[in-house]
Amino acid sequence: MTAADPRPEVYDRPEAYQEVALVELVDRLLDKGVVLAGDITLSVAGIDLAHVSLRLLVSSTERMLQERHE
Amino acid sequence: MRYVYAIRQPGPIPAMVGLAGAELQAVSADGLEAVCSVSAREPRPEDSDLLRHQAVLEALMAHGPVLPVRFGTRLDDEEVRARLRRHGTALSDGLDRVRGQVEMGVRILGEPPTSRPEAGDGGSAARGSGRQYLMARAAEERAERARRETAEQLAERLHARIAAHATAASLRVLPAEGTLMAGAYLVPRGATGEISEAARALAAEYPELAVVPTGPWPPFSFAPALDEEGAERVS
Repeated sequence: MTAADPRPEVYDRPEAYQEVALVELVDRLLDKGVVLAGDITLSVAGIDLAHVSLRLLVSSTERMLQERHE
Repeated sequence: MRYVYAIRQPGPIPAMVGLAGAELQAVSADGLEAVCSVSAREPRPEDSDLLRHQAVLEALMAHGPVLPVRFGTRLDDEEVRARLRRHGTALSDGLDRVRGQVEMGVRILGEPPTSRPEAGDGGSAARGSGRQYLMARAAEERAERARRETAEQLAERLHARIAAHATAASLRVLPAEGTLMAGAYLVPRGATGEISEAARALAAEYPELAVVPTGPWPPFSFAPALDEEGAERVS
């Protein structure tokens, strides 16, 4: 880090902010809210959903932080 | 088979379609209503279905308190009614809790500066003795625990600053790589600006962190947990 750090990119680039907003949306829809049905079976071409949502969270955040440090 | 978006007290159905262009319908029991649509296929956790579910929730929120149902919920009419009856008290209490309120999120990216074990130490030690390897591993684990504790202490302090403006709040620490915390805050509709202001103040104090408020959201994080024992007995 340098002495004159730019503001974190998410403050200035709408696309970076949109990524956080998407992560927040997906996190809420998939992991929160009222659980009416005991089992929610969702698949994305047979891939376990928990891994899909985790990848989405991780990759979005990592990408944003990478862009910030470039 | 119905796809379920939300639970609320009976109200007007918004003039819009749900997933896969299906018409929105209400399934009611005991003074509660599940807003649903006919579900011809499995919902997909992709943008179009996710965003459509969210759009329905936003439209419903304009008419009164709403408890969002987790994405992917498909049940037939009788199962929906049985659950509304079974969990009526918890659901009504849940609606009362969120009446006139919305959820704000604050996600904080980055990590507090800590010293990390230098890369490569573990590797060369591993080729030495088993004892050296175990000591290197133990040192790594201590450093990792210390990193976590520092992160938790910082997250809790930051969370408390924001939660002071909320009716209720919940916190997850280190929910993903590079993310210090994700907080959820239940606030009266008119008070969302206080959360943004609190986030802005933290951002100014911690320039190495990205403090990102989002919302208003439907109250996903403040929905009641339903006792599932009864569900087994539903026939």
